[in-house]
Amino acid sequence: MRHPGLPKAIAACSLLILLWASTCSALKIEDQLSNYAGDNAKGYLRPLADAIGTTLNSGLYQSAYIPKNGRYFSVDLRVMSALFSTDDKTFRATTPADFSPEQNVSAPTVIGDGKSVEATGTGGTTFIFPGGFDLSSFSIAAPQVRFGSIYGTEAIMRYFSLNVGSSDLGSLSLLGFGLRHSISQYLNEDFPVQLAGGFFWQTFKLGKNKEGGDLISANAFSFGVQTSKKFGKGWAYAEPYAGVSLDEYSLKTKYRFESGNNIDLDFGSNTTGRLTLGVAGRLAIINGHIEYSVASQNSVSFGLAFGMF
Amino acid sequence: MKIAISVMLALAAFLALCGGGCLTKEKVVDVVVTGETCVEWTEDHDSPMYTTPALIDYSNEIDQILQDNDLDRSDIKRAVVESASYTVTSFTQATDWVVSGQITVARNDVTAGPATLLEYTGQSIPAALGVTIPATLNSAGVEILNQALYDYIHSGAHPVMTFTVVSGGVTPAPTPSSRMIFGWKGCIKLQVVVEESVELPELF
Repeated sequence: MRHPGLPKAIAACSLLILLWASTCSALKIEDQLSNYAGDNAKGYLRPLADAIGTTLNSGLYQSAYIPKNGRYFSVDLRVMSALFSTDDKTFRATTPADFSPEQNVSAPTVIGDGKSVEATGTGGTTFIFPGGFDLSSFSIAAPQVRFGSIYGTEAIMRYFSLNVGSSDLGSLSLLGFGLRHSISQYLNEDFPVQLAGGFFWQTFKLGKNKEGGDLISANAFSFGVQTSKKFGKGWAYAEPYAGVSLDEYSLKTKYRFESGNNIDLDFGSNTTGRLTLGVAGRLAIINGHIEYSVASQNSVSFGLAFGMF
Repeated sequence: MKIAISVMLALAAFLALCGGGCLTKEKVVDVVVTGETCVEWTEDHDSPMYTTPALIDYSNEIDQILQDNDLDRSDIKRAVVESASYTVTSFTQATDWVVSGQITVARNDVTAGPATLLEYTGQSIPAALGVTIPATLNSAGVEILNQALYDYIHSGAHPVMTFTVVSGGVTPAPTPSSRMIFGWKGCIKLQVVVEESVELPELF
């Protein structure tokens, strides 16, 4: 069954949320980054890099049930939020090479306090470390499509692309693809819970630097197993679920340093284990979920799904 | 499915109306931009002792830094001197002139200075050609620059500065038959802090 109006509605909601995320993430970041190079730049931006990886690998599923056969199609709107800790607010920054004497200072990261921090040098000179955006969490939203099933396998896709042509808002694009496979189909029907496993790959680009290239680009990959158990049936039920996964993400940023030189910053590949606990529920045509994940950076995800289940 | 579309559009409308206060928070951020002001001198001397002044409209220089970063004078919270450097920009002679001396700074719009900004000792001119050499600044001269920046921000002043090269000696000594000729420039790096308010989504 096709519903041509639904994709536009999904896009409209996603547009609003992703516009905020784009504004949050790209606005003024390059100005602040231009003061830093090398280890200072990585230290300043590290919490945001981790948050992007954490949110991308969140909210990938809400049930371990995948029918062996049959057609279904679901359009989900998911919000993923990474939660920052106190340690994320500051980093050990070093004054630049042309400033004397060299000093190490506890300076705000990109999500740290908004107030700048100063170091006093010889001859009354001063070096100012820029403030952060004072955030407790970083959130992105993504439309997600699930369809299946073939031999107990479902496909998941995430896609969004936005370019408003304004330097203040920048641009944002997200593309993801994954597969999940039912393990329960190989088990006895009396097995007490549903089991499934799968993987998901994503690429994410945010903002434009002064050269017109991507300010931030990231890749994420996750694979793991999930379990769930449904209470109730038909048009009203609750389904607690859990999952363990191994998540990997990498992030690069390209910006212009205050000297005018272009800086390519590579945060490398980061790997973390993740434990997710959540609950999904359905009431009439609305299917929602909320979950909490424990990993190197904790996160919360929630969302709504519409479609044929 | 029409109901589903209606729910989504209602959610979109709610978010649009609510965006100003429900899920977004105002954040005040110290944005820091860096700029550089430079002054150039042309040296052409037949004696080891000389002075070479150069006048610079400092407010025009700062205005240019602000314009390059889409900022206005009224946006500035604070401006400071971060560091300085010098470099020889032109030199075609064969003689390895070694110079020592100081650069002083004074204000022309108010009475301030001259005070030593930086000193250089045993500097080879050919060795400094095209090379940026960090300079150790003197607090008396930096104070004059910082006060000029403060007056520019808070009093609407229009500071005009004179940077003077005061030679302390040249080896070998230039003579009328062997003049010392070169061009050089000194640059001062400034940091400007601007306080900006932004509305950011923060769900938790």
